[in-house]
Amino acid sequence: VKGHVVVIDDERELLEMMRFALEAEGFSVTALEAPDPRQLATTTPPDVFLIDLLLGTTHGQALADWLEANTDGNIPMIGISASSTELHLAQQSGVFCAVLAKPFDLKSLIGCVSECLVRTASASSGGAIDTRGLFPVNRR
Amino acid sequence: MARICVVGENLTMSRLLGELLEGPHEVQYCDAESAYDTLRQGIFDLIVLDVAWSNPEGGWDVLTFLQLHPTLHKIPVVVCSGPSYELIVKREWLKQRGIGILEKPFELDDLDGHIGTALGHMQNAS
Repeated sequence: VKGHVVVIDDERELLEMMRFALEAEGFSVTALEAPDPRQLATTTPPDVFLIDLLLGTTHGQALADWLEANTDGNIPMIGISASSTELHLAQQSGVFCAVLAKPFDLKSLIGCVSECLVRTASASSGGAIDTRGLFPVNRR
Repeated sequence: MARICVVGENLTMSRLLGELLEGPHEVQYCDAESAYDTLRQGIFDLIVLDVAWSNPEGGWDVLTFLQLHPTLHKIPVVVCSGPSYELIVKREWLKQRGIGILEKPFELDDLDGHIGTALGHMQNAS
């Protein structure tokens, strides 16, 4: 297993497709349609969160803020959205490791998740960070 | 005769677009509710996707689904939308992947041109 990814998106069909795509590439995946903090709190801490920024009842940014406050803050988060405005705001927030614009293809999805995992591993070991192909933001 | 699926937020919008294609092509319409189940059939030669939905992510979610799907990603897509900032931002990405862009308002010749180009790509690929 390459890593455990928690994917949060309110479009069920896309959520399941992302789960399928990531699992086919060797990741283990927890797919959540409606993010419930209690559910997240009991989920095994993942290696990366993939969060839709425009969720039905909850804003992805608020969820990311909650996750950062309620985890050790070292789990990378990737914001995904079709809205350039939301992606820009997410970049500015400093909470996300990277943002990924919808639509995206398999190569972009796997590349983004993999790069975030590498960056996090490199950062925790003090190694160099390769941010090519990403939209890096400064973590708080 | 090509089989074309026209996807829009509602059937009225899909039909408006799809009726322009009927005759030389076999056209099936679907809305936000039926889009995924219809597309999963995988029986289409071309997908025309109107991405102007009240949910700003709806149409783009469908395109992302298609791009990630192990077989459906091979079906050519023409994206249809009115002028929008998002379309400008995504234009290059779409072009790089051979996804046609049909901007409203359009002339019938524009529509025919995009359909012909997309179907031509499909025939060349096969």
